[in-house]
Amino acid sequence: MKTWIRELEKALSKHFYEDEVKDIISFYTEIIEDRRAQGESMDDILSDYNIKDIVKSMTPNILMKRVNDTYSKTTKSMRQLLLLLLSTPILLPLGILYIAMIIVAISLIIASVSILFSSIVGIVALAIEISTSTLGMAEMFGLIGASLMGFSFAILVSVWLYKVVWYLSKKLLIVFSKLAKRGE
Amino acid sequence: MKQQVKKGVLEIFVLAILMRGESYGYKIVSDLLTYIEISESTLYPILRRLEKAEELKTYNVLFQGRNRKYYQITPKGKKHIDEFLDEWEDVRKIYDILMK
Repeated sequence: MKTWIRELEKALSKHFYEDEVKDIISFYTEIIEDRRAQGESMDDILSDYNIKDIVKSMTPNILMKRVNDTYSKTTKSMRQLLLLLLSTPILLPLGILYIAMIIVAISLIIASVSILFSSIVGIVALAIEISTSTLGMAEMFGLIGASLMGFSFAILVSVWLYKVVWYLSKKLLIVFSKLAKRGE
Repeated sequence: MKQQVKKGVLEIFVLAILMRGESYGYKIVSDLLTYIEISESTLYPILRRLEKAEELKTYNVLFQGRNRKYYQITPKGKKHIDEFLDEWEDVRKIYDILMK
């Protein structure tokens, strides 16, 4: 039993966090010990469980209840979900749809970074232009003020876009996990 | 029982088992196996989902030198059963009307 539990733990650890692994392990340990107490042989009990199937069946549930509060947790969850969707034939169309959504999200993030980058380049170009131009003091301040307002607005748009994409990514993760659970 | 229907009502079956009294993982599976096909892998997420939804609460009891997790239905879980049965009743009524 200890060997089987270790194997299960090892397989689960590749996909889940320590507290999630602990919870699943304690559930199975308890069930196995109870079955054994009822007189079943260990070989019979363990032959009922397939580690790969356990990991696969746990994935959507764990992803649904997981709190994705950091960038690494969210990306890990997204990767796990994608792997599950692409490795299960019946869920493949869902996997392709999810990839499309991820591509859209990545495009929007690139767009937000581009807005930020172009506004920085714009400010630098303006600074060079102002330093070499023969504008009057009032015109120069007016121009600087307007460009700073434009720069602030561009930053706001890019931050807002980034936050929206991040929020939608988390929501998509939950929605697709639920769909995967139903589709299994 | 068709797979889709089974998935929809499994939570209710688990809650119904717990209406008889608090129980633990192995016993819940054993009790349910009398009526339906269910595995531990299916039960685990259901229990966690119900726990998260506060429809059942858990506590540990030391049994023969090891921990055993007990599950107990909450008022919210009982309400879930009542609502489900009401909806089921509505489905039945509509079906009967359609068949007249």
